[in-house]
Amino acid sequence: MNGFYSLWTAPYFKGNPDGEYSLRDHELLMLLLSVAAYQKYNGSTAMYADGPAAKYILDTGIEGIFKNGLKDLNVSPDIDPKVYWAAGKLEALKAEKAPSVMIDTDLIIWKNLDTVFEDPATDIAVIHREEINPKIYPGPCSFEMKKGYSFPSSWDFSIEPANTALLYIKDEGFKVRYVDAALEFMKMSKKTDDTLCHMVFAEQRILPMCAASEGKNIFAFCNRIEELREQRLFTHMWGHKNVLKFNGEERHAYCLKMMMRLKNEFPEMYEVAEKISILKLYRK
Amino acid sequence: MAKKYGWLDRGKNESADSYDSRINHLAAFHAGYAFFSRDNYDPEYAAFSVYLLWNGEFNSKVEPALPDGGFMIHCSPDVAERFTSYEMGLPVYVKISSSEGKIYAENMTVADHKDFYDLYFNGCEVKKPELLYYARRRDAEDCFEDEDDICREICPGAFIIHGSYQAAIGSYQSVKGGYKPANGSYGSANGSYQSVYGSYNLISFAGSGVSGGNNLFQLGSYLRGSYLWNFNNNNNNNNAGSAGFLSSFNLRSLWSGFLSGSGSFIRTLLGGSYQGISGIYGSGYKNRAFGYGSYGYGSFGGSFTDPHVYRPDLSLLSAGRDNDGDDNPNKAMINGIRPAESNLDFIPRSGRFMPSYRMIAEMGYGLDLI
Repeated sequence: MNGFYSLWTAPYFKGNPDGEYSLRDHELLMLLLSVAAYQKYNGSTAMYADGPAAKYILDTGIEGIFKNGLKDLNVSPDIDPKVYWAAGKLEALKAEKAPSVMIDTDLIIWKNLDTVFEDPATDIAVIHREEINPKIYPGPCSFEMKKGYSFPSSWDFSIEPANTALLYIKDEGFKVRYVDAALEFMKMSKKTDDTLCHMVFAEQRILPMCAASEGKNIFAFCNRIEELREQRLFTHMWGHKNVLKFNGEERHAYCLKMMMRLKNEFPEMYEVAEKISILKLYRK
Repeated sequence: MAKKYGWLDRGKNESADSYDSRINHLAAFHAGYAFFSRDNYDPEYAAFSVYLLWNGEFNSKVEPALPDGGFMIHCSPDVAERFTSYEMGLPVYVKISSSEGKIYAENMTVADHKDFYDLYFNGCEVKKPELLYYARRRDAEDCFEDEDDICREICPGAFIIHGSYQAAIGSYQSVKGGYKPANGSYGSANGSYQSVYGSYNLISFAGSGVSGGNNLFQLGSYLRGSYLWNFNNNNNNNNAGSAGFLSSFNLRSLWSGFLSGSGSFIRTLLGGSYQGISGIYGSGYKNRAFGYGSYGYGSFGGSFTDPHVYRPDLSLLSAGRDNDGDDNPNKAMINGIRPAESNLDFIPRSGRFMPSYRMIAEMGYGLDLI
């Protein structure tokens, strides 16, 4: 099954207008490991990247690791990158033909998942479902929308959101309808300072509501949060990225670990990694 | 305002490689202060979450900017007790590194005279210290500008004394330049405080928390790359149980002569008595009642005036000091040697991320599969 990643830099430049986009060492190693593992166990991958991200990928010399190549990512200027920092994923999802697997750059899939993807009962697959915590997933009336927008009456707001660090969608038509609904929500929401609830609503709550309205079945690898700790399929860096950002010692140790994993299990990717200047510290 | 960290900027004719090399060879330097509150001490793991105030100019040059929460040190209950008496906080030293022209904060240390405590970021919760003072030095006023706003916002009783200190407290009153507890009771700043920094959010999680039935820093839902620090100061959160700030809390003993340097000032306090119940040991430990008066004056730090210099006396080989025999002050950070923590052998190395905190800090899964 083909997979794809995306890098959208507009959220970074929103906060760092004069900055130069790059991935930190742990972020880059995670991406390399993710791509290597997916291509070993599941299928080819592509990377959707906007201009600065594509430049970074080319400058770093990793464009060749994506067997399906580097593709242009275009996100509507009507979307506020500060509020909708993951909008790039949805635009990439729209561009990638289904069936396919959208993978976060901090997620590693360690095993072949074809049995799930090829199951006729699986229309959509996500990593796990989430509870409706009103602080994170408030009701629809908490969103101030522009004139002319209304939430579809077919949406059932009692349905649990779905985490899309991994998202498989079988049907192209459904995929387009879901992405369009999410992008429309983003474009039609009024200016806000919220950087969480709007984004996760658009990405993770609209998906299961759209699916339910069309009778699509969502497979979740974990139905309860607790199961995530027991599972052996995925490594999801998730919030631990933030620990690594500010904890130099931990970051160094973790980067060494990732580099060794590349060397031992994905020697071709290790050859790529050892040529990257910011990773020279971890060469063994 | 004078800028102290201009030397961290990349020169016009400086290549990225030379800049990286220059920055990477810098010694650790003073970049902020750590503040302590009993509420943030976890005696089970000897873990003390610290509230940090970073020099604003320094923090603007680091990518990503450092947050004020999520950091902790390990220290014994006795040390923790002492730290809570440092109402002006303790200096934090940061070893920075540069890669491709960008500055990153690497290892950090809290310095208590000749003792050093490594500062770890693990995303742990921290409650803003109830009694928070920080320097408003004439030459560093710009550093904490933003923080002033925060303090005023959440602590309506905040005020400035002598133009040098600001007390971020809720229910104290100023009396002739000193402090007096209002109605003999301590009132914490109510309400919640959320801060957002960098590219991710500080989020609140519902569910079971680390502090029993309280609602501080609870985790119940998972979101990618997000945290929530919610300073619910109105619910007597205390990791250790029911102790905490139960009675009046007056100014503690003065922190005098901690750092030599210019800019010393005299702070006159109406001493008053202090009588409280220490929460350091928690309900399952010792609760101690004690009292003392405090007044006097002290001199305070010159590090911000010359951040190049690792100013405190860092002779780690002082008598009785248990360390590895290396007197390089940076080695404590660089090589992970923790002389001040040598009495904490009961904490396994892996235990520095306490289980209850790990859940919040990691928010990742399968990390051990790598």
